[in-house]
Order: sequence, then C-alpha cells, then structure tokens
Amino acid sequence: MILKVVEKASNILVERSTEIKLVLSSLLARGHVLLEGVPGVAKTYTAKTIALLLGLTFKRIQMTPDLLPSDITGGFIFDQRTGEFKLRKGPIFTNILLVDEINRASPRTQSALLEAMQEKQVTIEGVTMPLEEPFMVIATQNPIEFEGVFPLPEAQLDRFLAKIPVDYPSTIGFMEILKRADEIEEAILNLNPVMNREDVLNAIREASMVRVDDSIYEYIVRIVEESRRHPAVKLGGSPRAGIAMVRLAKAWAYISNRGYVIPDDVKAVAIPVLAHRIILRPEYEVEEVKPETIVKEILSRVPIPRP
Amino acid sequence: MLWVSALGLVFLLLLTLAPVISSSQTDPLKVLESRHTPGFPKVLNITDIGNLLSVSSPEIRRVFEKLLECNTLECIEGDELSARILKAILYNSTGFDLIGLSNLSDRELLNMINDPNVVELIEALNKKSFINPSDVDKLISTLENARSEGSISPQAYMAALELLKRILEKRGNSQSSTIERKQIEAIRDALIEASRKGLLLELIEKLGKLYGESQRWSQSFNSQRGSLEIRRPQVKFELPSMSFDIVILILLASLATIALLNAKKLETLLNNATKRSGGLEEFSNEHLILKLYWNSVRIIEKVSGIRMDISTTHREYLAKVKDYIGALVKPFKGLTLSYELYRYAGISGEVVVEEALKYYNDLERLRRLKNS
Repeated sequence: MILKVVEKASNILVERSTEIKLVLSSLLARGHVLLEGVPGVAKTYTAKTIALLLGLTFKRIQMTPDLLPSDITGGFIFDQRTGEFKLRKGPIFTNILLVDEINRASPRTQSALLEAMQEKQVTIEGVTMPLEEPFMVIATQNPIEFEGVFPLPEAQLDRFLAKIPVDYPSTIGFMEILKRADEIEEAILNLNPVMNREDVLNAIREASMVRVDDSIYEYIVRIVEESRRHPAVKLGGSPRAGIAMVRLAKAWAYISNRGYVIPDDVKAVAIPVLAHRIILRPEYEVEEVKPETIVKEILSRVPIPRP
Repeated sequence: MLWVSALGLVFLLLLTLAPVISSSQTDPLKVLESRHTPGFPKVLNITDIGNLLSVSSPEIRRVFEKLLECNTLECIEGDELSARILKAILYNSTGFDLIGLSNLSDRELLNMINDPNVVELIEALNKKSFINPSDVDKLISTLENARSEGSISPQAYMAALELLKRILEKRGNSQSSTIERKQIEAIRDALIEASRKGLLLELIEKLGKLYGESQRWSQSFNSQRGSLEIRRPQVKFELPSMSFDIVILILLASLATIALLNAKKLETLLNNATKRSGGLEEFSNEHLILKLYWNSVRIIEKVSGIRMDISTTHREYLAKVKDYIGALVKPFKGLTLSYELYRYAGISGEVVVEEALKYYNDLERLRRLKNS
C-alpha cells in the first residue's frame, strides 16, 4: 500500500518522487525530516499530500518569532463555568505536524518543539502526555534567509533523521507544473486516503524487520568513519548518524519493495542523513564547499562490500 | 629467496662504496647530554658542532619545518628531538640557549635584562592588578626600540618577553599569545641573522650532507623571510673511479642470479597476473553465485570497455553498461539480482542458483554469438 502512496503522490507532485520517498522512509523509520529549499518549490505541498494519502491527522504551524512554546504544546485554561482548569491541546497533538519555516521561531520555542520530537511526549505543567504514534514532524526552512531567523544549532539539527534538499524542477518539469498548476491544486484538495493509521503502523513494523547484512553494517561504519577523517571536516558523523543511516536505508529498501538492504539504499540515504550532521572547517566553508559534496566524495571512494 | 638475493646485491654495492661512507655512528645528542654537570643550569652547552654530524638530514629538515609551522614555544618543545637540535643550532649561531628560558625563575629572568628602562616598565606592569592593553603595547615598543638600537642583547630581549608573557598569563590576558608569537619571531630572526653571518651556513653544511636538502630548507626560509642565503655545501658524495662497463656487468650478473634463483616464484607471479583475465577457479572457495556474478562482470568489462570501480554498486554498474552491451543486458541484470539475493538477502536456495546458472550460460552464449 505504501507503494501506492508513493505512486499517487509522485503523479500529483511533479519531479518530487525522491523527496516523497525520503519523507515516507523517514516516517517508516520513526524519524523527523527537515525540508530545505527556497520558497515556492512545493515543500508544503509535499508534506500535505503525504499526510492526506496516509490518512493521518495533519496540522500545520507557521513559525514566527513571537510564537510561544505553549502555542505548540497547549496549556491549561481556566473554565469559568465549571471553575476548573481544562487542558487545551496544542497543534503538536497530531500524527503529522508541518512546521513551516522552523528557523523563524525563537530558540525557546524551537527547543520546546525539538524536545517533544525527541521524547515523543509533551509535559504541560507537570502533566506528561504521550504523543500518538506515528508522530512525525516535517519542518521546512529557507536556506537563503539570514534576517529575522534563528538558525537551528547543530545539536538540534541532529534530531532530524534526514534533511532533504528541495530543489527547483528541471525545465521540462517546470513546464509541466505551469500546465497543470490548477489541476495539481484541485487534486490535493480532493485527495482520498490510501492507507489508515493501522496500515501505517504495520508498515513501520515491517520496515524495521528488513534484513541488513553484516557487510552493509560495515559499509555504513566505513562511510561514517570517513566523514570524521575527512580533512575538510571539523565534526563528522556520530554513532547516532550511523544508526539513522541504517534505519533510513531499511525504510528506503522497504519502500523500494525489497526485504533486504543493498549498497544502493545506503547511498540513496547517505546525503540526507549525513550532510546536516557534518560541520566543515572554516577554511573550507569560506571556499563554499558544501557538506553534500564531502559526502558525495566519500561515497565515491568507500568500497562497496566484496566479493 | 628474492629478498636474500636482493640483500646480496645491496651488500655487493655497499662493499663497492664502503670507502666513501662516513663511519660516524653514535647519537651525538646523547653524548652531549652526558657532559651535563649536575647542579649547573640545564642549558645545553654545545660547542663542538662536529658532534652533530650523524644527525640525519630529514631530522634537521623537520626542525626547520617545525620552526616555520609552530606558533607557540610549546609546539617546538613538544617535539623533543627538534627542540634539542634547535637548541644546538641556536647556541652555535647566537651563543645563547634562547628557548630554555621557560625553566628560569622570574628573578633570574629579570636579572638577565640589561636595559633599566625595560626593567622599570616590567616591574610597574607587574604591580598592576588590571593590565591595560596600551601598557603592554608601550612595553613592547620600548623593547623593540631597544632591540633595534642594540641596547638590549638577544637573550635579554627574550627574557623580557618571557617575563611579560608570564605576567599576562597570570592575569588571564589574551595578549600573552601575541608575546609568544614574538618569541618565535625572535628565534627565527636569530637564525636568519646567524645565516647572514655565515654561522648557520657552516652548521648546515656540516649537518646536511645532501645538497638537495639544504636547497629545500633555503626555499622554505626564503618563502618566510626572503633573506636567508644558503650557499652550495662543499661536502660532496663521490664514487670511487670505476669503469662504467664494470658497473653494468656487475648489475647484469646480479639480475641474472636473482632470476635464476627465483625462477619458480616468478612463474607463480606471472600465472597470478594472467589469471585475472577470466576463469571460475579464482573464486574456488566462494559460493557459485558469487563466482558467476564476478565472472560475468569481467565479461561485461571486456565487452563494454567500462571497468567496475570499487565504490560502484552492482545496480549502478548495470545502469552504466546497459547501453553498451546490447542483448547481454538481460542475463547480466538477472545475474545482478541473483547476486543481490544471495549476498544481501541471504537466499541461497536451489532456485536462485539454477536461475543464476541459466543467466550465466545465456551470457556466455550471447557473448560467443557476438564475437562470431
């Protein structure tokens, strides 16, 4: 069924099949994703389409500097009729939460959200409430804005299983978008779910059972270790990055209709998993070297398992 | 056997060259240290540079490289051998152990400073609980003036810098790193000054026996300062007079002996080299599917002319070659999938093996057809 979701979403969103597969894989790997791209490249549409097709509850928060943690988590409000405090749940109580422009929120609000992402539970005035499974945050951020934004610190970026770059479409793709713009909008409005919550939970269970050969674990370890040894890198991938790569590779294999991971799966998820966890040395940053380039370079020389 | 023969050849050559090879063998630095008298300050009193003759040229080069790359004294002193050689060079070129000051007390350092103005400024600075950056700048400029006028000796200048650094470090003042850089600069300057006087050159000539090495030091120093002049060393490595024909004959005879003694080994090496061109025997201990797949890769490499890199995945390789191998695509794709099933899914049942064999036979048949 998950393949059907990929197919349907790819039909609606032009040239977004890789992003769709990565977002779905992250959901199956029980992680959160950060979509990074300039405005107008269908980041929000991607998140919305997936949520609707999966038949999960979906909420959206537009981050602003004056947003408070309680605007996300909710809080207790006084009910004058009953004379009691009642819990008013915030938008975080959902299955898929789209956080638009996460870097516009203040660090305090960001950390409240990121804490909930990590713990998968929310504590409001001493009362801890678990978030319903599956719970996934799809955050978006614009990489070119520097004013009025609070860039996410490295430790908080690490909480995202994957950072997915959303690029401009190709010329042909762009033409197709222009031709089908109204049709796409309407299609999203009239989307019917292909799955339900139970199906998604089953898919998550099945994805976790995908086979990973020892040689694949070794391959992942070598890639992560190389990211630490690279001369351009100040801080490379941690064991957590390795775990994330295994999980996402398993989910990617599952979405590709396979019960086992192959080196191609690892290569497909390496950049989304590693690039945002790599901190470059200043001299390379000045030269505008991108972490994505470093990961590509590592993948081009780490040998695949043999024979 | 190959090694024994090679050693024999080397031995033969050494015998020929024996008269020109230096016989100095003992570690001169150890000899120098053993001369240290207990109770006296531990400053290396190196007066005979001839004792350093057996220090190899790469070690000397390391000292110079260290000096160029280090921004702190700790960095230089961290490398014990470099520090010791540097001390020796400094002693011989400037007459003083400039970098051993860190072992002296504040009072000893103050006594070394022969300029009363500088002493006064340092003492005034030491009394302050908060040090203004302008006070430090003032002291530094006084020191620099005294140095350029020659009213302060190199060792007094270094002692003043060391004292100033200590005062600043005690107060957590970040300017202490600037002072340390000045100390390094002073060491470099001392060496360059020594080089101008020809003292350093004399030392290098005696230490670095190879012309090429000293030229490289010269280049690295010139890139920093642009003023160091190092002349061509006079110590030359000369072969005894020997007829060229005899040398050629010795070499040919040695090669023939090696070849005769290792005929069997050479044969094995040649066989191994030619084996790579094909055949299932190479994977004799591996599963049949692995043998079939890797043999098919070799066939495809030959047909397409595209090699499979170590980092290329099986599917990536299939995608790369598919447009160049015509009808071979289908069996090669089948073999790739069979390989993945066996290798990564752990499936090695009869069906998979049979299928892989079928694909391999198809591949061989189609290749023969293509060739004919």
